[in-house]
Amino acid sequence: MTTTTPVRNPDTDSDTSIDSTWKVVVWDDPVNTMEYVVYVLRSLFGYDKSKATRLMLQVHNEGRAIVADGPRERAEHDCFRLHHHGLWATIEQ
Amino acid sequence: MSDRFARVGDGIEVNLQAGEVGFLAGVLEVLAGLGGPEEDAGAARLSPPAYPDDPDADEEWRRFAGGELDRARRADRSSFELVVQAAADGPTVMSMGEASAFLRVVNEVRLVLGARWGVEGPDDYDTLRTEAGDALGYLGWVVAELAELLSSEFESPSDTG
Repeated sequence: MTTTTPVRNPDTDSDTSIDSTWKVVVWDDPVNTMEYVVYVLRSLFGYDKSKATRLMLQVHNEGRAIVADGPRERAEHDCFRLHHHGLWATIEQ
Repeated sequence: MSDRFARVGDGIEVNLQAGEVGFLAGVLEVLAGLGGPEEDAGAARLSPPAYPDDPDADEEWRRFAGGELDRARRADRSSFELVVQAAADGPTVMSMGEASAFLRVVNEVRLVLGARWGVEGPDDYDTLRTEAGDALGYLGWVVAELAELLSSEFESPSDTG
């Protein structure tokens, strides 16, 4: 990634408690290929092939998978990167 | 691997036929012609909600991320356009960063076309008219080729399975 990812301002933005864990969910979609999803998960999160493939199969078989979690700012950063790569990603607590 | 894309040194060589160059140049026209997400299913697909159950949080998310996402995609498309223009004159080499952008653009237009053509499941590919199926098929092939070549960057001796 060569782009700047927007981040929240902790002084002014709400809901930035460091105790909050936010989950980044990738959802199944009919166009992205399995191989592409594995590539994106490896590229963005540094997962090895085995973990990326397991998460991809969970998305494919169960419709969704939690691919990352952390503070809200981090989750939004990850969600942004996933959207940039065309994956259908959402954030939840 | 095909002879269209191949790892060379620190980059990926692109060796496309004239018809492929013309088709890929058309990709940019598709993306340039995107409408608003309300009226264009393709545009809507590129802007999924981050907080589908919380409209206020989603609106805030779009305020934070929307412009930056647009800028990132414009940068990808500019990089893609330069590579396609160079490929029109013969074999050219793109850096791994350019290849990543190229892959994102090809996948992006695949998402747009799939959404516009109502692809909602595997069976829908069988009902597409021939030209549409061929277009998605070719773009999918490019995605597979580049994803595999770029993934070679990740490989380690213990990660080849």
